[in-house]
Amino acid sequence: MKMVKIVELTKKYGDVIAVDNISLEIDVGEIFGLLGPNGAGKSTTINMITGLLSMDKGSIWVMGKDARNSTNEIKRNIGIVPQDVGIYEDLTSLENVMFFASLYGLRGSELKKRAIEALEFTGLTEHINNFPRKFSGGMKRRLNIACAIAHRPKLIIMDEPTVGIDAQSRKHILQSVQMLNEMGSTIIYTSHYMEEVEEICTRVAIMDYGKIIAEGTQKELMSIITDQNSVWVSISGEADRIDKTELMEIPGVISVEIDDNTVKINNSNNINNLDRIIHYFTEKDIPIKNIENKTPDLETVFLTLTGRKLRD
Amino acid sequence: MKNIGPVFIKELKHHLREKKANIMMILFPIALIVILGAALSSMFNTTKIELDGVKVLYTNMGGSQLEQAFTGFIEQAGKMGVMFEETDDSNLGIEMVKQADYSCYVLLKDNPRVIRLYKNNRYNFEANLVETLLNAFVERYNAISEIARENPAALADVMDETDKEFYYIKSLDGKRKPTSTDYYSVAILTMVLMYSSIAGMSSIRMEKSLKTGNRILCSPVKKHEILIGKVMGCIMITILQSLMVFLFSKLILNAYWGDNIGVIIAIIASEAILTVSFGTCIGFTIKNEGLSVGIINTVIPIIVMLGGGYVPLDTMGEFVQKLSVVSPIKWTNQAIFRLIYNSDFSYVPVSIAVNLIISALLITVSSIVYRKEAVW
Repeated sequence: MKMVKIVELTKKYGDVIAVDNISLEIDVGEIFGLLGPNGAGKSTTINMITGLLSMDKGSIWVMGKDARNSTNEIKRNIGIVPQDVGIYEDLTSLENVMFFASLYGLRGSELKKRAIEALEFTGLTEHINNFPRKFSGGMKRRLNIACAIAHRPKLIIMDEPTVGIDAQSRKHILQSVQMLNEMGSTIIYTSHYMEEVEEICTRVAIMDYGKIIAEGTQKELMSIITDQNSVWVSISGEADRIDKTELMEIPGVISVEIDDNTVKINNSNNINNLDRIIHYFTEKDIPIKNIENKTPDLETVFLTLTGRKLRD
Repeated sequence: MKNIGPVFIKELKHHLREKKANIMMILFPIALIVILGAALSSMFNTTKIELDGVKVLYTNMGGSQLEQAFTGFIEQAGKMGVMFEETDDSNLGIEMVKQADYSCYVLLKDNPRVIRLYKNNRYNFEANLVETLLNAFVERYNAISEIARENPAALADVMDETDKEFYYIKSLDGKRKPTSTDYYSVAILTMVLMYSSIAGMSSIRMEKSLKTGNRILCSPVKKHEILIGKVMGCIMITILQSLMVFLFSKLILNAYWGDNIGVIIAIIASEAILTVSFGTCIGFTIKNEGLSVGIINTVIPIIVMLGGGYVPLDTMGEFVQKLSVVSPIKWTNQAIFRLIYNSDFSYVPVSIAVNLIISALLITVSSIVYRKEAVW
């Protein structure tokens, strides 16, 4: 039995097709990454899985149950970590978690015990009786997660759970996701941070303009671009002296991206053009600090498939 | 329905922790009662009114039994300063009252045995007083007639008892008329109560602005459970706030609230339901926050003014008095005042029904809009 099965799902807002005839299958025990830029249709898809939005066409099955007919039964087994932190600033951490967990039928001492466990899990034990209005962004994000897991859901949906937080909190959240998965929950993790998806997800679907443009394990996705390599040239000096068009004229160069003082050049494996790339920099009198031959990543996959960066 | 409890408790916590709103809803009305009670005391007569000038005309076309009882009634009313004069001409009696020569005209008839009362609104308070006296007389007369029919032996005891003390006087509370503090304790409380609609509205808007509404909807809780829990929480806190103001006015300011406190609290509770329902409906139907607050701040002063919340209705023109029927506050205030000063329960069901029927309509609209909303 699949944890989630989506068949030919479509959602329109007027003339705009937010989700365009997508089909997906997510296995029990997976950490499934839904990757795509803002507006790709990730949140709309999630809102349909959780029953917040109706479907225009297609079907969703969660744990073998039709989402159209078994809404409450499905909801009882889902924990949602919304993209926007959804907590009450005038309730303590414990009160927040207890309130949301109580909506799933927990009561009395069991409710309190599970709430405390969820706060311990997210590293907020010391702040159990504190009001979130004094919390940092990272702590609020962790409380946002605690509110979603106290009822021990079988499926946890995390919609961009690390937006706008510091590196330490992000690391803590990613570790939490992996631990929750080890404890038996299936995770759907949406993000436009490619490195997060690469770090934790067992399988990935890439969405763009409402469609799933690629799906599989990271290895399978990378295989889409096995005929490519990536050369990263670190320079000292002004990057604005580099003309992307001129670099693209070098035979074998597929795409060029400039990120601060690093020039990322995707090349065809069939043509050896490293000497010509180096020649370009020396001719322009741009000092090279370092050259790396990088393995392609999901960002490269997305760039190859759509011609755009994930965070464009 | 099991999820109403957690939503209700959460709502109570929000409201109890909103210090500014609580201060506004408790201290502000108290301050207003104190200020207006002192500043406008000249608009109100002092605690007792002079009844010496109350003139009532009557025609007795009833039988001798009724006449005998009514004569006793006239004697006792005379001790209170209500002077009855007899006329044989009923048309003349009605005309004299129309011309305001008399406060009221009473017509006693037999077959069927009825007592008709014609009042002149110029003597509103005096006429109400006579009406209350008459009501008490009729009740007592009917009771004695019933006893005479069913158990004549007990009649002597009853009559002895009534001879000792005239039984209507107690209900009139010794000719009391509201002081400015008495008046504004009621009027300000029912006015400020209306502003609890902001609490109802904020309760709905809060879930949208905090992004918690969607989170709640992702759980296996039904929309009507959320709505009922939230509305009940707001109503409870509004009633608690009102009780604080009520107790302060009664115990500290010595405002007079009469003897039917339980019924008055029931009327206030029905207004709390109305005001929270109004705010909830605004919260659901008007998406723009500024516009929502604007509507509340426009509608409430109008219905409060029409309800006599700022100055007594009888000091305003006839047009305003006629228009006042559209204000639920008018019915609420009227019911409370008549209950306090006339022991008149007749407006209680009307005021409670007006408040609850409007509330039901507003909650129905809210639930329809909420049901249609997918994502908050």
